[in-house]
Formats: sequence, structure tokens, C-alpha cells
Amino acid sequence: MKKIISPLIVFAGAFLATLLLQKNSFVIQEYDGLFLLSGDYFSDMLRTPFPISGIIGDFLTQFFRFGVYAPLIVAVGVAAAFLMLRSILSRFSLDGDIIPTVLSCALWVFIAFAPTARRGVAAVLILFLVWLASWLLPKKEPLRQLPLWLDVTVSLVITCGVFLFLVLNGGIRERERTASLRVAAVMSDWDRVLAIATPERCSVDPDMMPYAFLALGEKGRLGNDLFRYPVKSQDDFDFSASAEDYGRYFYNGILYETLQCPNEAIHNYFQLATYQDHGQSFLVLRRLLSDYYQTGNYDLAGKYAAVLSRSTLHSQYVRHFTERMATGTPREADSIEFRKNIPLITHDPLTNLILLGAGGINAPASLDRVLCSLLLQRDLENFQAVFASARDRYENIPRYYEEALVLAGSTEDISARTLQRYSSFQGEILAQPGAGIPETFSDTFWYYYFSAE
Amino acid sequence: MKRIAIACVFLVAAACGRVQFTPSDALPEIFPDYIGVTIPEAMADLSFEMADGREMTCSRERVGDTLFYHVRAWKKGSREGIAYAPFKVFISGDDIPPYIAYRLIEPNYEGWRDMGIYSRELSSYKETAIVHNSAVDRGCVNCHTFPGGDPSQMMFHVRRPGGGTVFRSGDDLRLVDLTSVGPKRQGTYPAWHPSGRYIAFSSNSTQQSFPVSGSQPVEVYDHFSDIILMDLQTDSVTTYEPMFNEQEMETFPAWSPQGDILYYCSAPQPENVAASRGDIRYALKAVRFSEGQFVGEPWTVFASDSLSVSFPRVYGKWLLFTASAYGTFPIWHREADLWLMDMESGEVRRLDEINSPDTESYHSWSGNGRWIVFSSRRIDGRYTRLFFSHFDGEGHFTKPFLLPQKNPQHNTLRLKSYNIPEFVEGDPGVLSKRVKTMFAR
Repeated sequence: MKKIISPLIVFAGAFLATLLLQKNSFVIQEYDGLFLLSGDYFSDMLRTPFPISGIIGDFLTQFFRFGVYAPLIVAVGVAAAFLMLRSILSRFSLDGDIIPTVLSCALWVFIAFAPTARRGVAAVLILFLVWLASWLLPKKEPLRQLPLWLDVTVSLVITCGVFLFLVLNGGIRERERTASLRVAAVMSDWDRVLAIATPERCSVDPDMMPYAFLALGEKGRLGNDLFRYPVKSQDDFDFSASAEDYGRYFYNGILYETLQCPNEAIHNYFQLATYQDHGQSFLVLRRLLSDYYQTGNYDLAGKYAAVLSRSTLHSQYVRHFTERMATGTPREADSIEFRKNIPLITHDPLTNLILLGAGGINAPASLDRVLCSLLLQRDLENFQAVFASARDRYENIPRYYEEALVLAGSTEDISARTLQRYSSFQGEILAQPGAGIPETFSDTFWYYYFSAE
Repeated sequence: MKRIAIACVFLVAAACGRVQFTPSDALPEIFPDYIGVTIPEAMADLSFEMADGREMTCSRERVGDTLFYHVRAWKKGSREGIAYAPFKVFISGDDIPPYIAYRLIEPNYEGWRDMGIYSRELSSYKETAIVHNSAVDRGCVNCHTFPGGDPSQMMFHVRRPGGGTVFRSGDDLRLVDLTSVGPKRQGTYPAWHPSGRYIAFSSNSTQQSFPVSGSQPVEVYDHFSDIILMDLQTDSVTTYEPMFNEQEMETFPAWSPQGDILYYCSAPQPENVAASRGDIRYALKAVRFSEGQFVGEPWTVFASDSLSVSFPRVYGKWLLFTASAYGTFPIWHREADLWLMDMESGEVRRLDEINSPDTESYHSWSGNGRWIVFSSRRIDGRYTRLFFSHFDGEGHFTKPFLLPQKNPQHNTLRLKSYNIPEFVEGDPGVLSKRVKTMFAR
């Protein structure tokens, strides 16, 4: 009984640290991972340098999508390493828990920083082989036995030290924050997205801003909250074409799904898949199944359902779609006349929104995104025109639209508060010509319009 | 372990043994659909399953040149099943080349991860990577061709910094950067002259675009294209003004079996290709070739107001081509079909006996002109698969059959498309290591 106290401490430390500090980072590993009982998957794996650890790692990664499984798997791996190390070292008369604690905690740190589960599994497998080999050696008497309290205390201190190291590690925190944001966006948990991508956080990490604007759009708050964020140009609104590809494709896939443009979502998901080891991933397969189902392409949805059913944990997910497809009606393919005249996606997000609108695809957030894009481009003329055509969609004019309309010279339906604030804005500018825009107006469209270039 | 295996066999046998089968006059609905197809003698066993996923057993007997497949199917857990009427598969005495080569690639958009040019032995399920793109730092390997199906000679492009066109002759491999010679233009679609000395390439400036909505995910068109000619003896590249000009876009070259005529597709060059893409239709043209030079003016072999021609392939008097409603990239055109032209009579017809409602595109003749292999998206509309059909020499094809796989579910589970199927008269072997070494230099 006494012998399990130290491994339990390490287990508890690894479990809690992973649960509290890295849960979403492991969910992303599942998003990017793939495990299929198919010939091509195993052929691919057999071409890799360490196929067995790769296959086991991929298998375990499937479980990372669900709550406590990743912390549990990491903790079990680390504790198993502890026990194997203690057994191995005992063959060399090195009894006690200090060295196993140090080495198993080193493995824990290694797993915490590893991009996939494969490396951690490889380390545990190597250790397992060494442990098996150590059974060939005779057992030796320990040189000296440390008191139990000392063993436990040292294990506790080392475990707490590693825990603290991970808590304070900027890389781990950053990775988890980005992962949390992406997971929340995938789950359409827009409140959580906004809780992570706050204006303050976005000033440190501008890559979070597109997610914040996506969430604001979905919550119908874009026109009221856009300039509370440190937005400097249209490039902050969407990921520009020069942004890091993985992050851009990940975001664009979700964006175009919310804009009800599955073609472009699928395009981005296919591109995202090319960044994965097998040229495909669980996240992409799930989204392709869902998007093709939505578009009525049951042939392809059925294919992806069949593929996903060859993994371990997708039976319920697949059943959800196959049952609906069994009673649904697939969409007919488009006519040649329709296809040859259809507009083509461009590299400009605003143009794409307009093309979508022209094609009758008007997601609730599309209008706000068009209007906000025009604000970001300081294009008041077109803003006014688009807003006028959609005026009846707003019971109360959102704050920044009011500010833009006032700036463009319109006062119709503008709240007294905005008119009053604009009057003070003008007053302060006129009072101190050449002094720049007062910081008290930094969360206004006027501030952006006149100073942010 | 052995005991467990034996126990499993008994369990399965017992499970089947309890099922009562009712004879039926109907034919089974199977996937892939091999009912009534004609196959060559040297073809891997046709492996299939019930289209509705029911359990099945199958026995096969051969009577003369006909195989009879007896299928019995039942629902899992049910004690009642159906013994279907036997279906026939006909065996042709016409030989088929022992191998095909194709590229496997995810049917993606701009990017890719894994791709490779593979060979498949037709009498078995053995698939071998001739060259995988891991040998060229994940660059693109494409447009492979073998002159006359000769496995000891081959060319393919490698697209990556420092890439070019790789030529294989026996054990020799060499890399040529076509953009550094002659008109300094990149080669795209190749056509190897029967003499082995020349290769005609189209040189295309290709653009991918993505429709905002609708069922067609990708549209591909050329901003411009021309035909260039490479002389492999001198590594020189020459042009011929009627096929290298700004008024026309020329593409998809193909030689006649004697090498005296080059067929190609050509369309007038529009000002704005993207905007007018729905109105671009390629005609089939030809030009004479003699003593290493193109001779005279090209002439139009086939043109239509409603069809755009691609991939002309000639065997004897028969010209097989792909036709879509417009454009130059039929693979993304659901309406694309295979058509056959009798060049003696000028008769042209759509091959309804082998086409499907979905895309048919690339195709190749076997060396004896009795078989074709072609790519089709008929299974799911996206992932291209390979089909074979027997040709009777009189203008008629048999019902096509899908390239057999050991496990029929492989056709669904494989997340890659088959590109550019070509017959090969022997095993092309493996080049990956040598290509890797060549690019490491």
C-alpha cells in the first residue's frame, strides 16, 4: 500500500495539470488526428519510422475529444512509466521513488509539449521493452532504503514543481488558449469564444480577433461591439491570404459554414486536411459529412459516414446522419446553364459576401459583416447605401452604424446619445486642432475613421 | 490462437447453416456491379458485396468462357435469406496488358499531402508506388506516361522548387527543366511519339476557381496554352506557329499510332477566360508530322457548338475522346462523357453503354486496341475510380467493370482519386529511392 503513494501523487499531478491546463490542446490533437480500420491507413502507418507507436498513439488520440479521457490517458501513462522505472531501477539496487518520480515527470513534461500522442506512446513503449528486458536481470537487494516520508515528500515536491512549471509556462498557456478558442468555435459556443477573445486579449494576440468578430456576428452584436476591439484594418476582420495557412483554413471553414456557404467551407476543410499526417483528419471528416449532408449530397455524405464508421468512437455521430439520410431527399445536381454562370469565389472576403448575397445566400450575420467591412474600409457611401436597403432589419440602429451615419451627415433615427457624443467629439477636435483624436473616443468609429491607418 | 480461429470458423459456419434460403429469379444487387461484364482472362478475382450491406456467400463456377456467380444473402441475425439467380461474367480471349499505372491523390483543391504514381498488377491486387511524393519533399508528381506502354521508359513532372521533368530510360534517370530551354515554357500534358524520340507537350497556364454555390465545387480553366515539341536526342524544345500563338489555346496532344499526325484540342483565346468560361468549347484538330517537324496547316477533325473536346486517344481508325458542355477540365464536369469517332466514316457517337450520369474523363487504349481503361466519378461523384471495358473492334464496348479490389469496401474507404490511368506492358518497378537521390543532389 505504501508503495503506491508516490505513483498516485504523480498520477494525480499529471491528471489535474492536463485537465486544468491542456484539455483543449488535446481535443485539438483529436481534431487533427486520424485512426481508421482501413487498408490505406495501415499502409500509410507502415511507411512511418515508428509504426506501432504511431498506430497506438492515433488510437488513443481518438479519446481526446471527450472530457477527462486525455487527462486520464496521460496520467495512466505517466504513472505506468513510474512503476516500470521503479521496477527497472530495483534490478540495479536503486530502490526508492525519487529517480522514478524525476524520470516519469520528465516524460510528463515531454508529453505536455509534444504535438501528438505518438511521441509519448513511443517513449512509454521503449520503457516497456526495457522493463520487460529487465526481468532477465536478477533482483538485487537495495543498497539503502530511504524512509517512506522522505520518498513521498520528494515525490510531492517534484510533482508540484512540474505542475507549477506547466502553470507558469507561456507556451503551454498560449497553446491552450488558442485551442480553447478553436474548440469553442467548432462547438459554436459563441459566448465562450467572446469570453476568451476579449478586446484586451486581442490586443496581445490579434489572431483571436476574427474569432471574436465571428462570434459577435452570430450573436448579432457586431454593429455594437466592433470598435471595442483593437481593430486596425480590414485584415483584422478576417484572416488575410498571407496568414498562417492552418489557422486560416481552420477559421475559414467555420466562417463559411456560418455564412451558409458550404462550398467554400468544404474547400477550406480540404485545404486544412492537407496539413495532417494522413492528408485527412477526424475534424475534417466530420465537417465534410455534415456539410455534404446539409447540401443534399448524400453520395459523398454516405462515403464519409462509411469512412468514419471505421474509427472507434463515431458510431453515434454517423448514425445521426445515416438515419436522416435514409428518410431525406438528396439534392439534384445543378444544370449546365446554372453552373456556367455561377460567380466564382475571390480572395476578397467582402466581395465574396456580396456574391453570396447576390446568389440568394443571406446568413443572418452576412449583412453585419458586409456593413462592418465597409466601415473598416472607411467606405461611407456604400455603407449608407447598403444600410438604407436593409434599414428595416434593425429595430434599433447598432451603435457603430449610428456613428457612421452621423459622420456621413445623416441624423434620421439616430439616438440622442450618439448625436450628443458626436457633438462633444467635434467640440474636442475643434478645441484642440492638430492634437489628434482624444483617447476618450478610442472605442468609436470616428476614432477609427480619423486615426487608425 | 489457432483454436480460437477454428472456433470462429465453426461459429460462422453454424450461423450460416441456420439460415433458410428461398430461391429467387432475381439477380442480386451487388457493389461493385459486376453483373454481365466482360473481363480478360488475366484479371484478379472480382470481389463484391451486397449493395444493401446484407451478409452474403458466393460460389463461382466456370462453363467455357462464362463464369456463373451464385449469391446467397441474408440479413445479419435473420434465419431467412435469398438464393439469387446466378449472374454471368464473360471472359474474353483478348489479352490485356499486365499492369496499369495511375496517380493517387486526394481530390483536393489547391493543396495536397500524399500523392504518388502507382502501378497495379491486374492479375492480382498488388499495388506498388513507382514514385511517391515523399521522395520529392511532398512536391507534386504528375502527368506520367510510358511510350507504347513500355515499362522501361517513363516520364513524369515534379513540381517543386528545383523540379522539372524526369525521364527514365532503363536504369537511367535524368531531370530536364523545360523552362530553361527553347521557348522556356513549362510542359504539362505529354504525348510521347511512337518512335520514342519526341514528346509533344501542351504548356498550360492553369487556374482553379471555386463557385460560390451549387453542386460543382471546382472549375478549372487555362488562361492560355500552346503546344511545344521536345526532341529527346538533343533535349531541345521547338514550337510551331499554328500551335503556338496568341489567337488560340491548344492543349491535350495525342499522336496517331504511326506518329504521322498529332491530334490536339484547340479553342479561340477569349479576352477574359473566367467571365466567358461557359462559352469556351475546344475543337479537335490535327496536324501532320514528318521527319521531326510539323508540316502544313492544321485541320479540324471535330467541332461542335455544344461540346468541348479533351483527351483525344487514337487506335486505328477509332478516336476516343472526352466531351463536356464547355471548358477544358472535364473532371469537374458532371456531364463529361466518353465519345467515339470513326475517322473513316466521320461518325461520332456518345458511348452510352459505358457512360454514367457522372463524370467520365481520362482514358487509354490497350496496345491491341481491345480494352480501354477510363476514370469515372460514378460511385460518389468526387473520388475518381477506374473502369475497364472490352472493345469489339467494330465500334462497340461492353458494360464497364470497376478495377477489382481484394476488399470491395476499399473502393469506399480509399480517400484518394485515381488519375491518368495508363496501360503498361510490364512491371515499371520502383523509382522512389532513385528519384529521392536525384533530387537530393
